[in-house]
Amino acid sequence: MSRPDEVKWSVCTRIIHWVVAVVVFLNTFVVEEGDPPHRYMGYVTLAFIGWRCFIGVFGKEHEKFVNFPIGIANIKLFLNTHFTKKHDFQGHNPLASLNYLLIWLAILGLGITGWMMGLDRYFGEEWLEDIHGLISNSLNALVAIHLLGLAIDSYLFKRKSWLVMITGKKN
Amino acid sequence: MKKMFGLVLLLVASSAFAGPTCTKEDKAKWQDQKKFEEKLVNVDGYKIKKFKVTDGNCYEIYGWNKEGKKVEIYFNPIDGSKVKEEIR
Repeated sequence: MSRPDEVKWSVCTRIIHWVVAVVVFLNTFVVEEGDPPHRYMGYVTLAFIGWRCFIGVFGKEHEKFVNFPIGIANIKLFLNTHFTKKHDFQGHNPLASLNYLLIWLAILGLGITGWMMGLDRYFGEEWLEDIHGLISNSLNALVAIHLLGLAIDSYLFKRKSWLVMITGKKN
Repeated sequence: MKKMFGLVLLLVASSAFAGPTCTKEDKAKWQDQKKFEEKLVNVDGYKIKKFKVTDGNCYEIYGWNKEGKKVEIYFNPIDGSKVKEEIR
């Protein structure tokens, strides 16, 4: 068992989380699609994804991608033990890890397709706009799952799971 | 909780509709699409990559202006005026 006061998520990962969360929210719901603010915020997000990847390779234990407990065995262990509270994964749990990897891939895909839309070659192409929109809708669904997972975890373990991205501690 | 759900629905619904609204007039009163497009190319010097009729009742072009700058412009299909223009 790890100490409850141990900081599992560094300040960097927490900053990245909130900046990307705010930008994704603004770009999805607030600013006009395709306008300069939308594009610039998209590029900022790509830079933050790069930063997260750097941490994902050189960071602390739970922050490293190789330590994300994905894989069938971990998912089975999680499903068999989590809801009876026999075992608590440190860092992201297996299903959350999958969810978050997909979220990052979706945001990366939005950045790439968004950038492509401005190229001479793909400028105004509807199929590309449709793909961008499709990824955006998928991202909304993934974020809904993310929030639902947090709510379930908070309820099940009677803990404030969302605090982990503020304090960095999983208590 | 219900209020939050409503807010989320509103946001999702509003985000599905992008771009300006150019006219509320009936399509029958619009300028002829072909002729309008030809005028933009032959008179105004645009190079048009894509010409679209938007959900907001605009004629929209993606292309280049006569200075060769990349542009995205929304036109009012009644009087042909520019409603929104972005030059990159």
